[in-house]
Amino acid sequence: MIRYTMFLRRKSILHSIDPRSKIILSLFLFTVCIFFNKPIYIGVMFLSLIVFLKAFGKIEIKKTLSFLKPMLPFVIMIMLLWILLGSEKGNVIYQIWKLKIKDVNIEMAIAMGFRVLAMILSTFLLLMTTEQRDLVLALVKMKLPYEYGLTIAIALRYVPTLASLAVSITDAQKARGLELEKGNILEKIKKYVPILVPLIVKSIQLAQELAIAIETRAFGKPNRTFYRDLKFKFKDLVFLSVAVIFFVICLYLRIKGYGVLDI
Amino acid sequence: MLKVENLCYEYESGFKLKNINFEVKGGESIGIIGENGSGKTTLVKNLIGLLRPKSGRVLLNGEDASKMSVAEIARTIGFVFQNPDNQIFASSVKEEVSFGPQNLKMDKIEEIVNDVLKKTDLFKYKESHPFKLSGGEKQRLALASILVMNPKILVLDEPTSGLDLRNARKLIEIVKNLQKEGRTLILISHDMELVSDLCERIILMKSGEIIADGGIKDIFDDSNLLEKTRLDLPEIAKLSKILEFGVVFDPEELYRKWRASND
Repeated sequence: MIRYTMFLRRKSILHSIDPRSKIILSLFLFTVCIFFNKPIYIGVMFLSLIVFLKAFGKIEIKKTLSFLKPMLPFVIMIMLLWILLGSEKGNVIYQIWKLKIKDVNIEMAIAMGFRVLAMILSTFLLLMTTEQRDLVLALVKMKLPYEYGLTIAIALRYVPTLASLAVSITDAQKARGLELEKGNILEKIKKYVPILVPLIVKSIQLAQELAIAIETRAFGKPNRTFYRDLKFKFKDLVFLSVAVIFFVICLYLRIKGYGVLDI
Repeated sequence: MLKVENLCYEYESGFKLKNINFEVKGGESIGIIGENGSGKTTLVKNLIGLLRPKSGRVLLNGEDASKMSVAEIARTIGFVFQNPDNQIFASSVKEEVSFGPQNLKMDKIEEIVNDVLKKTDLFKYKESHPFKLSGGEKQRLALASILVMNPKILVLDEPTSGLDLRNARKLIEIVKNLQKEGRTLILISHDMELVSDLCERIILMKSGEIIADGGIKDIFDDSNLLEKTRLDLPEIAKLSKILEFGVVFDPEELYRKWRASND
């Protein structure tokens, strides 16, 4: 079954925190990932993020890993590129024809693998613990124009609708004998036409109907009010303060040269 | 012709089809009815190979359907999806209808397409763009697109939903002609008038199970069953039951019974 949203409903501290604080924390974590490139530093950070999600977000480790699993081919590709085409420095530990595998590049590849995973996880942290509507509301509260916020909300809202429509269309065409698995690459691409045409037509119809529906409900009138509101509480302030302290410590370590490989 | 033995299916969401058993003989007309979410469409998707049973089996003319592709099954069971817009992609009605036979590598396609277009009263629109057809014509186009593959069993999912009376009557007339040809009909519908008009046997589903399988009059006469499944009988059947004439669908028959009781 296809998952359309990454949000996992739990009763946890992380879920109850104001999404604006979580957006800032995500940005901090993302930036900190770039600070260090020693495998031990970035590896510890990655593992800490998993534990942090379990402890404060009640997200099971198995669940977190299942979200990361589809990213693995991408991570492995980055690691391989580093191993094969990394720095000129370091000692050669193995040579295949003209390709020299060096110790420093292996170290760097491990660090890059952890870095990409930690970067992904810092974004997932936000998406797994924040409902889409709250995320959009937070962005609007952070001065993103409402029209853009609504556009993001609609785009996120229609992912499941369009995915389910694509499944229905594929089923309908399969019932008419369409076999997507057969044929060479060109034939396979051509076979997607009977799926893409109805999908595009229906999407345009949906967009037109939606545009009319929101216009009839006074969309675009200035100074709108909100049914739901976000309130920045004391615990959000504490959370944000801890995030800022964490970021400052990491920045200090980086300036002092800790956690950085000499390549 | 079609035999379902101990079929079980389970979605990741937890919804299950539990131990489904039934047999369909050639030329039969069966209505699969039940509330939304009772498993009607899931069952049919298992029959046509879009979903594969977790256990149990579907036998088509004695052969295990699990060894057949969806396209192979489509030669015997034709499934007309509820929403015709989900399958239209070609630039003319004749192209749209010829899609299935081309996939199944059938011979004399033009001849078959013309024949089916005549049967479904669409021949005059042969060169028209399918998107320009009315709702009723599109529904007949969806039927033609399946009929053209000459399946022995025709499965219709809510075929008259959203159609005006004239177009619904036209479609029913076409289906009745197909029944006269000896084609087996499986109808999924909430419209009890339609079910009573087209089917002589009912498979009643609730929460993924078949809770009744029998003659339409026997099932509509079972007050306990009707209460349990909140089935809404056709108005004429309600009236005939109030008048204590049993279940009657034909107005003339009801009139005769009423006259006889008065005499």
